Formats: sequence, structure tokens, C-alpha cells
Amino acid sequence: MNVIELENVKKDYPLGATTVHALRGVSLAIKEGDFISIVGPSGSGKTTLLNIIGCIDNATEGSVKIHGKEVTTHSDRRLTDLRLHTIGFIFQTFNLIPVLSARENVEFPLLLMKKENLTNKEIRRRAEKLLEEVGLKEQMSQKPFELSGGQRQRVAIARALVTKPAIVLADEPTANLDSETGEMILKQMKELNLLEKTTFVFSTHDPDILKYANGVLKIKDGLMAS
Amino acid sequence: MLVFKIAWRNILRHKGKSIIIGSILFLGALIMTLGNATAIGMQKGVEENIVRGFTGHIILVSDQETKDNVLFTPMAKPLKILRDYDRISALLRQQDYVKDFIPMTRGGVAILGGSGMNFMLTFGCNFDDFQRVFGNPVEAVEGQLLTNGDHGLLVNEKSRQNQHKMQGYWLVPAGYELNRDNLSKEARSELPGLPQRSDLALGGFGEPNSTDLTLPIRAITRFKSLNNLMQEISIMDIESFRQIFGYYTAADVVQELPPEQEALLASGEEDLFGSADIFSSGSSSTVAELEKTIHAAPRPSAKINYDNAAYNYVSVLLKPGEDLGAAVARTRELMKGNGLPVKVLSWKQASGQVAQISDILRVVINVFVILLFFVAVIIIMNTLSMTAMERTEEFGMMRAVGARKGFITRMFLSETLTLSAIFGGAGILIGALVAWIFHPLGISSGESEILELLFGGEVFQPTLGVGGVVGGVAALGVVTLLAVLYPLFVARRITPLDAINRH
Repeated sequence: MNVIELENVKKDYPLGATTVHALRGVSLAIKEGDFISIVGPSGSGKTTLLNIIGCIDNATEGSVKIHGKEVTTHSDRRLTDLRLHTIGFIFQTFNLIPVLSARENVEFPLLLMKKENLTNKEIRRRAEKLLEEVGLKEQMSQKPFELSGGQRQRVAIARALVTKPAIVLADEPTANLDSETGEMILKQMKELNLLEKTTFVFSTHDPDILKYANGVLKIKDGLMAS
Repeated sequence: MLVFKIAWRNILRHKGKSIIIGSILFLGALIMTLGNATAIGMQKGVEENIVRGFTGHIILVSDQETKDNVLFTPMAKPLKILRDYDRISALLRQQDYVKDFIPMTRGGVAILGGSGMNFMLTFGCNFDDFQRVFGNPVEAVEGQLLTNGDHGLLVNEKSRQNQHKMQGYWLVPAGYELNRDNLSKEARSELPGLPQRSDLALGGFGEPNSTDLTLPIRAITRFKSLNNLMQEISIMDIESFRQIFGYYTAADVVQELPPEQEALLASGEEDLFGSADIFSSGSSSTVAELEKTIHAAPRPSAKINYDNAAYNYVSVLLKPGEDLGAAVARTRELMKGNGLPVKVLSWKQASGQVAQISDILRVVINVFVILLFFVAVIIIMNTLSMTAMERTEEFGMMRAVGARKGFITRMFLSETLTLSAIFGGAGILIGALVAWIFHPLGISSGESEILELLFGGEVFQPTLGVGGVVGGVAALGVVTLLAVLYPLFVARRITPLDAINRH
């Protein structure tokens, strides 16, 4: 079953008097449990594509379906709720709330959807379990500025997974990490992918991490290359 | 809880900005609270000294009066006679919101026999009632205050000094020696040949039926409060006032004769002298009996009811806590409903400039506070907007992981309201403390008439009741909300994409 479907998606940005065509008609389909890597040179449209899949940017033209439902016509509120319940994000750099501890950052999405049934204890337990899984048992109470870049990225991964989303989007998740940490994080993502059947879509420049992907989408000048 | 946790930690994280915004809120709240205490103190002073000490809350005048400013008209144009006082008083007595009332007259008198134009604003009343109703606002500096049935004039000590400056004589109460301790510097320099007078010949000003009357000066007086303001006011007994202005006096009313005399007057000449019995009997018993009857009749003065004659207005004092506007409306309805030819005025309307100056000064204070808050709103708005822009990544990330705009709104409002509550609350608290400390000490107006008017008395006591504090909190809340509106709009518009683009 396709969890993500894009059909002839175009995205234009005005840039002064000109228009930048970031995506020129992208079509793709990603199945449940896929571990997909989007590769391409800088400015090829990788981030724009992830943003549109993640419902944080609107396509200028074309169709975007998540779990078979068209999302381009959704209101801001529905898109926000879709992000909360269905999609987990791991951003390249900006990622954590500076005034919350590692554990509180992971709890944050669950607290936003608290009314749905979880108690505070359950929320805490789930956040702590995920932090343990990403190797941050000892850093749970630390604030983001007390953590290294890799540790922050792992907190972001834990946060992205804490709601058990169907889709996790990661924009160059290992870009700011040393190779050892990057490798470790990718292994964790892969494990979760296999265990939870979570669909992972991530962009990367790094050819070494492609070995984890079960599919690679190449993008160039806003078009799928193959 | 999550919202407050984040808000509180953000306040601590952005200490610099928090302190800037907090300081502005603190200062604004402090000045507003002190301004409030000043305004309330002034209001209370005016209420205590002008309203409860002289004018009353509500003034009833004839519906023939065209102007509202009936009490302190500069040229003291005569007031119309207020009709049906007996019915008015009967109605007022039945009203639960009325504490007391007193009928009065007011007019300008010309002081005769001097040089140039020499006027005096006088009020006529039953002075015992005046002192009772208004809580003894007048005290004697020299001489003795009027009591029921006395005829005479009470002259203000300041007015006496003015008379001396203008006319050259020094007023001394009738039957009293010159009190050298109370002489002005100029008067003292004229001793021992200082001209003195113990009575004044007065003529009603602007009233065609007025007559001249020489009145003894019973006392030199002063108002216990606001004497500078009311220095031109002299008080005389009601009957003398009526005589001077040619009004129908109570004594005129009492000239009603006993039934025997009425019968006598009603008799025709034939009845009296046409009967042969009178002459034929040669007896003088009838005449003797008649004389006896006449002499046995009570003296008119013993039956004088001062309320049976002319008045110009009625001052009505309300019970504590009564709303002035509502009481004026009720009284209007009452008078209208009973067909009485009465115009009902609030003390502010009736006092003209006296009340207006006090109001204007209060408005100036309020405008100052409003301007201050306006500036505060601009500064806070600017600082918060900058904060919102600086936190684009944080807000954008929150939105990306599923925070709705409502969450951003609650978080932003919580931060600003917490700052407002802490710093603004401290400003209100300290302002209230200052008002509380200065209330018993009081601030003297010195000899300044303007300050005396502004303060509503010689001593100003800043006052801040629960209402003042509640008003301050409400104003602070309004200012905070106004200041946060635009920054909130900015914060709510931040999208996850803005955060990515910014990075």
C-alpha cells in the first residue's frame, strides 16, 4: 500500500522579479515500511520535496496524497494535526526546544496530543524508553545546549518516533554528525523501520548511508532523474 | 501546564528582554496606581469637603432656570423662586436614598455706602439646619454663629480682608471688641486709627423688588475646609435675605390673624358701629373684650415657620454609597411624576467652574497616565515583535511537529501575562503601599487655591480602595493585551517553512 503518492507536483518560488522552479513535475509513490533515500546535488529540490511530503509546504501544482488522501486542499489546522499524528520530522539543524530538557523535548508531541488517552506517566515512560534506545539514558535531564550535535540529533529522532508515526522524514539527518555517530543513528532508524514498519524518507549527500536504503530516488533540477 | 512551563523558562532564558518589558510594565503600573490614588483621593476630598460640606449631591432649582451653573455664578445673577417647597420636602423625606436636605437662597448683594462697586455672594438659610446638614462646615473666628431667629451676617475672614483692602474699614462682629490677633498686616499698620464697622448696608443685586437692609455682623467665619476657595461666600439668615431680595418672607405668612381678628375684619361697618347696642348700652365691654382678645392673641414671631416662604434651591445629600447619576435620574422622575416645577441638577452641573476645574485637573492626570501607557504599549509591542521574529526557528519547529496556532498563542500570551503579572503586579503593589503610607500623613496644599481645589481640601490624602486596585489590574491587563496583539499576530504567522528558510 502506498503511504505517499505525488503526481506531477510542481513548486515555484518567486525570487525578486524571477521565479525559481524548485520542482518541475515530480511523481512518486512510497510504500509502507519503505526506507527511501532521496539523493541529488545541492539545489536539486530534495528539501522542497521533503517539505511538500511533510505538509509543511504547499505544492504550486499537482497532487499529494498521504495514506491515499489528498492533502493539498487541507486547512492549516488539518495539516498540523496530520503532521502531529502521522509524520515525524528530523531536521538538519534546528530541531529542539531550547528551554526543555531532552526528555521534555521528546514528550512534547505526546503532550500536544495528550487528550487522546495517554497519562503523564505513560508519556514519560515512552519518552525515556526511546531516549534509552538512542543511547541518551544519562542525558535525559540535560538541556539542548548541554548536548553535543549528535546527541541533539538523537533526541530529535526520539521525538520524531515517540508518536509512532507512519512516516518519518529526515532532511540530511547525518549532515552535522561525525561518521561514527551518523552510522549509529542510521542503524537505529533502520532497526525501527524493520520493527515498527515505519516508512522512512530521508535526503542525503552521503553515498555511504545509501546502503541502508531499500530504495533511492534521484532528483536533479526539480525532476526525478530515474 | 506545558505552556506555562515553556513560558516561564523562556522568561528566564531571555532575561534582558524580560527585564526591559518588566521594567516598563512596573513603571507604568506604579505611575498608574499612584495616579489612581491621586484621582480617587481628590474625588474623595471633593466629595467630603465641597459636596458634603456645602453643595450637597443634588441641587433642586426652579424649572425656570435656564442655566445649570446656579451656585457659583460669577456675577451672582438672582435665581428664580423655587415653588412648592412644602411638597418637594414631603417627597424628599420619603426617599430611601436621601440622607438629608436643606432649602437655601443664593444671591449677590451690593454693599452700600462704600466706594466703587462692592459685591458679595451671599447664601441665606436657617443656619442651624445648615450646620446640621453639612456637618458644621463653618466655624467662627470672631463673634458668634447665627442661631435660629437671629438676624445678621456671617462674613468670611478672607472677605473681611478684601473689604479692608477695597473699602478701608475692618469688620468686627457687633458687640465684640477688635481682636488684634486676627488683623491683617495692612490693618495692623493702621492702628490705632483703623476704621471699624459692625454692620453692613446691603442691597439685593439684580432683583427689581429688592430693598436695602442694614445687617449686623454676627461673626467673622471660615470654612473648615476649602476656605480659600469659598472665601467670597457670606451667609445670612434666611429672613434677612428674603427681605433684601423682596421675597415673600415667613413673617409675612404669619401675619395671618386669629379667627376673632379675621371675623372682625370680615365684619361690615354696620355690624361694628351700626348696632344701637353699642351706643345705647353705653357700655364699653365689647371694645374692651375686643382689645383683650387682640392682646391675648399669640405674637406672630412665635409662629414663624421659615419653610413657608421663598427659597431658591434645595441641596440634597445622598446616603453613602448611592450612585449620583442614578439618584439624579430618580429625583427627576420623582419631581416630574408629581408635576413639580423643578429642575434637578447634579452638584457638578450646579457648581460650574468649581467642579469643572477639579475635573479638568483629574482629566490631565488621566491623560498623562494614558499617554504613558501608550508609550509603554509601543515599546513593549516593539520588543515583543522582535522577540517573536528572533524565535522564528523555535515557533516554526513547534508548528512542524504538530503545535497548532492556538498553542503558540497560549504560549506567547502566557509569557507576556506572566511578566505583566509579576512586574505590573509589583508596580501596583508598591503604588498601593505608597498611597497607604501617605494617606494618614496627608499632603498640604499650602496657600495654593489651585492645589486646594485639586486636592478637594487643604490636605490631600491619596486613597486607593479595592476599586482602585481592581481598576489598576484591569488597566494593566488591557495594556498587556494591546501590547501583545501585534507580536502575537507575527508569532502566529510563523510557519515551519519560515523556520527552514531563516536557517
